[in-house]
Amino acid sequence: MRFLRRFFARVGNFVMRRRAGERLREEVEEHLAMQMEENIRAGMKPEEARRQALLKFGAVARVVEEHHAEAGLPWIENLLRDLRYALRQLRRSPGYAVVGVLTLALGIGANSAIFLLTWSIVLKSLPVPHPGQLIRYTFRKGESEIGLSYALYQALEKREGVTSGLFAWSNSEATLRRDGQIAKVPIALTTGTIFDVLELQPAMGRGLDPRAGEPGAAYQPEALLSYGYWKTEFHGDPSVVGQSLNIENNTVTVVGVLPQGFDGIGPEEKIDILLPLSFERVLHPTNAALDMRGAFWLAVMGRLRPGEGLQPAQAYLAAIRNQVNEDADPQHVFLNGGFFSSYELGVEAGRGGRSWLRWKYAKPLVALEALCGLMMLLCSANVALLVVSRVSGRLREFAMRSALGASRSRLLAQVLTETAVIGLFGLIGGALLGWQLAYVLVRMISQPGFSVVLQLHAGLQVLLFTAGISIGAAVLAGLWPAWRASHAAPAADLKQTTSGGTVNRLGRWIIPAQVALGVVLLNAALLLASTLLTYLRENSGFDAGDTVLTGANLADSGETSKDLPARDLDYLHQVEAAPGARAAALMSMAPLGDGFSVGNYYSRDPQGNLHVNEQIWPEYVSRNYFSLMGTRILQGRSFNAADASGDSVCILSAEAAAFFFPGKSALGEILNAGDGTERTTEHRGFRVVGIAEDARLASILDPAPVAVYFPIERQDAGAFTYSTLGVRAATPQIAVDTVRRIHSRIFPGAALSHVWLFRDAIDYNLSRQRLLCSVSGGFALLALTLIATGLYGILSRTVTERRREIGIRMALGAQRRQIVTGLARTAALRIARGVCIGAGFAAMAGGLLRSLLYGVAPHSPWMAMATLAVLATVLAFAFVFPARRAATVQPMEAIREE
Amino acid sequence: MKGKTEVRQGTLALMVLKTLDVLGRQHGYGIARRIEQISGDLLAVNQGTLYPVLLKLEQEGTIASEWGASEKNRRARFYRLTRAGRKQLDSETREWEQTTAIIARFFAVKVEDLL
Repeated sequence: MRFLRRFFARVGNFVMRRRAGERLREEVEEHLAMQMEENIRAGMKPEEARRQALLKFGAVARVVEEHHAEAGLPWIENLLRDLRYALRQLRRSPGYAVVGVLTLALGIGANSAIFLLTWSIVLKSLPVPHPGQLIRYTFRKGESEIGLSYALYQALEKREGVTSGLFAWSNSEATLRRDGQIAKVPIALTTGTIFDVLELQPAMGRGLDPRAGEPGAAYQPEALLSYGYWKTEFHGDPSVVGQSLNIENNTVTVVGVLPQGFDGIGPEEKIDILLPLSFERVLHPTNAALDMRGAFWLAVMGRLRPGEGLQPAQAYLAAIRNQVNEDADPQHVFLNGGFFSSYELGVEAGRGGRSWLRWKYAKPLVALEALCGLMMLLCSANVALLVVSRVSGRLREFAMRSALGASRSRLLAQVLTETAVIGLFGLIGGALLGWQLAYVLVRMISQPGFSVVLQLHAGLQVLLFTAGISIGAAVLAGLWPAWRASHAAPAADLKQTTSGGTVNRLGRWIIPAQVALGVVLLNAALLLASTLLTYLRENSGFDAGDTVLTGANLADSGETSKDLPARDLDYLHQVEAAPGARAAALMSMAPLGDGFSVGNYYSRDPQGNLHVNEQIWPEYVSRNYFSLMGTRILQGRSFNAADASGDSVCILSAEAAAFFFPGKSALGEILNAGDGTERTTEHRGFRVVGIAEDARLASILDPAPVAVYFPIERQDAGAFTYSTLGVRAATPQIAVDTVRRIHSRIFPGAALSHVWLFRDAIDYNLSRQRLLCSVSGGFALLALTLIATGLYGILSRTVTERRREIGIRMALGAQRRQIVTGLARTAALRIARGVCIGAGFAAMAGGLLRSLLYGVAPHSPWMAMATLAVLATVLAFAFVFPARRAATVQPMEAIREE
Repeated sequence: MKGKTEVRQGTLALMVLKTLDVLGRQHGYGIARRIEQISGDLLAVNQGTLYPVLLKLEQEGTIASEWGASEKNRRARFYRLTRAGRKQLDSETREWEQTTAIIARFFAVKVEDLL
């Protein structure tokens, strides 16, 4: 209480600039007068009485100072004074200020960008109450994960056990017709239970009916809008509740608005409309995933009962897993021995929701965070060097002040204030830079042609992190110089014109440390770059960078499927005939796309042996597909016009040919559909007319699937409601314009939903590698710059500090060569020490990066040599200029200087 | 300073409070004289150091001050104990007495007493 009262009195005095000095002076005068009188009474002469009174009182100035210190807040006063002084100093040497601020800003910027990404993707919880109680069900085979089927969801929901509720969720897109406009909007389908499980309170209206989507429950055409969509598209109009929307030509009633901040169950989701799961039957009337036991499309999450944890949930799931599989697939077609039996149902913490980005980027981001930390250390070291060389230039000033009575803490505070000012500007610059950088990185990891983009949330945590590392960096950079300044020895430092090798001494530590950090960063960057290059250089079975791929869902336009194949072909022929188009082809599934399907095929050799493969990738393509995509035909021929009718034919990938027809040419042989047993009803045979090179249809990162190509022109190929057309023209823009024009003419009801360049699809496949490569590459470049400037700075400062010594040695007969060799030996020793330390850490870092590398060993000696070569070249440049300066010292001038 | 006892600020503050309690309203010089007399010149109080302590006590609210006329009818600043100050003095006196009593007992104990 008393402390507080006193504190406020002092703050008051400080703020009001109230000065108690006048009052004190009067009091002191009074005091002295009384003492003097008493002394006189005791028999002293007036002068003596005054002198004795003063002696007894003590040093008046000190009392006044103490009194002043007690009255106000001197440390704030000092701080303000230091700040003013620091700003003045920095204005006087703008070059120093700019380099310092820039160095810190780059380090802080990189750190905050990566942390912003890490926070948004990996660390952030769903914006719902008690996210720690949430769990998420997974369906995995090793590294690959797919969704759950609706049957699995139902089976899980029947056996709740440790959870108090479950919900299922699926993202999709739908056509919305409003005020004469057609738009594709991101939607999600979900069960009504989501409002209980996530404890979502609609901002307006009510949630979905909890029973919506249950088997037997009638489909209720109701929807909720996301808060953002309601604000932008409906201008926050409260009367939207009760209105009708036309979604996929269905009338749906808006029953509410989702709470602000909830845009989906993962960081990369931003849905506009939430619909009941049963809407799937509206989206896909003939083949609703809701009714297919083999469709694995749902994210399933639940909330644990109070007191339950993840481990009991996992144990419980292990106990019921077989029963759940049995319930979900009694015929054992997909699970329990079926195609998906290698996938296992699991459960994990659901705090962050479901995120493909997290799955893909959690590991790379951790690696980048580590590199970022090293980067920051390097930046701090450089700024420390900068500050030290500045402080050592001002040591006389500090020594002078120390001699005049400035306390160590005051000198310390002053240098620290100066670095803090640099740090503050660095923080501001870094935050701005980081924000921009984060957006560039987000673009890099976003899927081309799709609107789903990661939502960045620079919350308080990100701000605190950025501020924290800035303070850390400034303290790291300022502490040693500040200590040196505060220990300025008046006797020694005042006498010397140049200080006694402060920078040189610091260099003994900083050069090896910087070189070590540089070795680690450079080696990591080279490993990651080599990984990306390996992927790019490997033969993927495609040569189609400029091909534009376009997709449209014809089913959602109300197109009837009967004449679709014919119109699709018409579409293809019109595009092929359009001026400017060089090649065009239809395909059942876009290479490097999201989807995949597999089928059973077999062959029978003359000995009667069956060669069955149940994991064949069937691709239906029009006849120019191979030339369009740059997939070479190794033997036989490509499809031609005659294949549209007559014999059923196929083209095998090289691996398929080797599998089905080992040891002989596959040309002319027959491939059959089915698994060769009585179980399959289909026994169609396809004559092999060609063999194509293996192409990485699934992903540039994955080995080429065993593929079989069929002519899409045949009537018995079936109708594809989702058609993908690829075109190559003089420029991608011409290709896009051509396709758009013709598509809208032939399918007036359906909008082209996706348009992308094949090269972008490759880039997207490689986005993880590209992210790692470009960020670590940027770090390595920055690190090299910092090391080079650091070495340059230390050497030039050393040459300046030792100018006299060099002059004397030369006067005594030393050769220029000897001077330079001496300088080089010192530098080389320190660099070598750094390389040795760095090599150890680089080996460790390589080991940690192992899982992110491809085609290069984590401890590749080639990469180590490349690292050393680059480092040596850069450092040689940094050495040349100071060395030349040392060599050209004129002995007479140097000695005479003082 | 050798030969004289160093005074901690807290002790000085307690002396100021006690002085004001005994003498009532008093100016700075009077307080200094009183402390000097009682402590028998043993305490190395540079009289000036009293003033920062007075300021601190005033900011804490244990004493209050106003201008007034001295015995010789000169302008002087007078300090007096506030109610909070009196309470503070009481509690600190009690504490002090307890402490001295304990220390005294401690010193009074002889080795034989413990056997």
